[in-house]
Amino acid sequence: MKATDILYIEDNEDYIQFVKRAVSKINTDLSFNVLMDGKNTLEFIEGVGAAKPLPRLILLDINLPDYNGLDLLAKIRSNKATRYIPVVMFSSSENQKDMMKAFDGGANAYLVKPMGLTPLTETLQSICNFWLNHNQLPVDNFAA
Amino acid sequence: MSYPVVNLTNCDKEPIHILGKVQAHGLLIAADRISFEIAYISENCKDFTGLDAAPLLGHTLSYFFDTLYKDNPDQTYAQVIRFGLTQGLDNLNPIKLQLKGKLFHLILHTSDRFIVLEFEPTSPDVDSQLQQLVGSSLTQILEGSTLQETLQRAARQIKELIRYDRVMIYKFWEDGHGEVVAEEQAEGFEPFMGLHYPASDIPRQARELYKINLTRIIADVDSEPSGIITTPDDKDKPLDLTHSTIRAVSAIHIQYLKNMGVQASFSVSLIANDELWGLIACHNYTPRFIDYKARQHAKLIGQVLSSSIQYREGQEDREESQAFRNASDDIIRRMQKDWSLVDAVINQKNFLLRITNATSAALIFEGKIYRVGDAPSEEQIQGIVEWLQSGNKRNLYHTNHLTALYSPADAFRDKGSGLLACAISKELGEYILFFKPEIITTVKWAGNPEKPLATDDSGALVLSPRRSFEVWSQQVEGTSEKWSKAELNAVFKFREDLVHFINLKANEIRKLNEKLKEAYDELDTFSFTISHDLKTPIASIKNYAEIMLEDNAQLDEQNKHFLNRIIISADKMNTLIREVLEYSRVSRTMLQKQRIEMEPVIREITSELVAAYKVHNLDLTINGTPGILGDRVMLTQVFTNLLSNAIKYSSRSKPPKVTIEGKEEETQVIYSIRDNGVGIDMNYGGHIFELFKRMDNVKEYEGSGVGLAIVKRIMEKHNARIWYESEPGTGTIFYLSFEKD
Repeated sequence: MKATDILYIEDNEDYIQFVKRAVSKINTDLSFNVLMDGKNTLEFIEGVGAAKPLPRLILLDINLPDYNGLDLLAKIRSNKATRYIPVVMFSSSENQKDMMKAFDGGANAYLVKPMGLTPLTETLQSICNFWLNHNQLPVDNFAA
Repeated sequence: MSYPVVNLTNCDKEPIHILGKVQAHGLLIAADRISFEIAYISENCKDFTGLDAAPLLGHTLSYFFDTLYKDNPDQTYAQVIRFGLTQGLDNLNPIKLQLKGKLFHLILHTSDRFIVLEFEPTSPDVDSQLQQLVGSSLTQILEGSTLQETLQRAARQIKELIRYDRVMIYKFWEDGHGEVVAEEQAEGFEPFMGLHYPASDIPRQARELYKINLTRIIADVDSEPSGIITTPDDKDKPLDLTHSTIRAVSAIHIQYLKNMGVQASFSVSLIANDELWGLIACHNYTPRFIDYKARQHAKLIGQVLSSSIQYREGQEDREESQAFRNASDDIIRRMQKDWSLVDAVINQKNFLLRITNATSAALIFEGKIYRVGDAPSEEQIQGIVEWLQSGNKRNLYHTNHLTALYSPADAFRDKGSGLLACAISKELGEYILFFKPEIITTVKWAGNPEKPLATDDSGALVLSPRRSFEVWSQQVEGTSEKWSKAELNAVFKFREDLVHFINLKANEIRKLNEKLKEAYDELDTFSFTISHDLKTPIASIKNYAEIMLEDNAQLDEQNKHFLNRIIISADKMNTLIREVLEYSRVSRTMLQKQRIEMEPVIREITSELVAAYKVHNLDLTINGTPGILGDRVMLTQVFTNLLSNAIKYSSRSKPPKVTIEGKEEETQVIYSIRDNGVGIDMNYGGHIFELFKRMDNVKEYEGSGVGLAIVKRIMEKHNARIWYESEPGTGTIFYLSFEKD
């Protein structure tokens, strides 16, 4: 199974479309997967292992139908398998408190919706450049 | 006042009750109550008894009666008197007896340590006449259905009883002057009904006597009064004649009666609530004595009439009070119904004037003057209000003599000599004023004021109605009818209700304000939320339009153009939403005041704007940049918006010129931002600061009409001021003024 480069957790179909478009513009080779609710995301985090390769970057919405993205962030950061995956929050909340919570909870970046296609592409491009190309993630020894 | 003897204040001082004289028709003897020794006797004793007065002094009453009736030793009057002194003299009066074969009444009373004997004539047929009259006359009087009718009937009954030429019922006003309120006169005599007489016509101490002696007879003004003689022991101590029925009359009063052509006068006091309400004043134009018993009957009629007056006046006062109250209640009800004070008070003209007997009134409320009836002019009313506000005047202030307290009132004394002021709010100068005219304009005076004055041969005292009028008119100059208790009570109650109503209304307004504030806050939150939520779908519209454009290279030019228009419109909408958000954010954000160095702020803003508008030929001058105390973010926005406008609207001038000037004054910092752009028509005034307001001459420039609204809001939040000067085609200067601390 091909590894997921970018995992987008989002329930809004529009943004799934836009991010998908932006990612394809950055590099057509990047694999892109979407999870549309918190329940599936939790299952995914629990199940991550040798059989299910890690995504290299997670894009996380805050307002999900069943979960708060910040809680999901906490799960990601507390799971040995996923704790080093860069997480970019992507939310319509401009609330300073939400932003602070996100960074305190281990988010690596925070993008505010809405975003035009061009700035979205440009921003994601630079994020991918940094996290996917120039940075080697620490890897835990899963076998051990 | 150049007449020698007439001095009515003198008259007030004359000690009427110890004149030491009796009228010619009666004989007076006063003896010690214990020893019965005669101490005083009137000189006319011989006329009645054939005995000289002087030799009787020092003798006892027994001696007097024994001498008088020496042929008839059965007459024991001295014993009867002694008996009366222990058993009550009233039961004895009058004692019928004969002097020199003529029928007399002996009337007894005490004065200090003396028993006073007064002999006056009577006739045998008096009794039977009276029996017929009195019973029916009282019934008739009491049958009157109104006070006026009762008075009229009483006048008629008295006239029948005493058969004088004229019987008047005379009522004293509060200021002491009198008015003829009912009258019966013999045929051929001019009516005096409705005429007024000055208070000085009946001096104060005379009025006190009227309360003690309920009847008073002056049988013949031309008769020579008889002096009262006494022993040398008592000569410095005149007999107190307070209760005397034959007491002689003051020379002034005699003259007064003579001047009116009156030969005999009889009066009955009318007393209500322990005050002299008035008199039944009877005049005869020939001498006429009234028998003691007839006088007593007249007195009885007077007493019955008095209690009837007291009852009926009380009733009429109550009715008047009730009428005032009803009028007042009507106004208050109207107010509560329509929530409008002015409409209730003014549009129902009659109602305001029905609260009192005022002839005109005015309402001063919320900066306006409303007049009802023939009131003083607005200017005069304004003057009164200012005068009322000065000094410690009560909320309910009244006078019937305004000119004496406030001299400008002289100009409108015909309208407002009497003032009853009811303060709604003294601080705001809000009042209801009631006016009464000068009384002189409303009164018929006794006698013809135009008639020349009469003088007698000696040039001495001539009291006449003409003369009285002068005195009186001077006394009442600038004076109105008094404000009655009923009127004051009515206005007092009215004021209470009024103030209560105003408080209610104020509360209502306060509640409304709170609701308004809530609604305003809600609207603010609403606009913030809605703007925020609009951003997402608009971004989506734009993004999809972009995707469609990218994915469909084969589209024809027109469809490509349409998609571009969608993108541009979405951008415009986005800008608008962003600005509205900024606008609502101003009121949602707390000010964080600090001293701000303006130079770097202004430099940064201008360089960004120059880049954004691509006006590279901009002639920019910065002249002084004093610091400002304020919120950095917000003030940056103010300067950004104003400078953005200045640069934008002058971008087509050649070259665009923008000058920023800052000046520090004593208490404020003033900035001006001047451009040579399109300018603003000054007729727009403050409207340019309204949300979404754009001027007609800037249609071709980009803009949402929010920028200046934000500026204004921020300035208001800083308690700072903004204003502008402009001329279309020449340019605009915006001024900003900040408090220094």
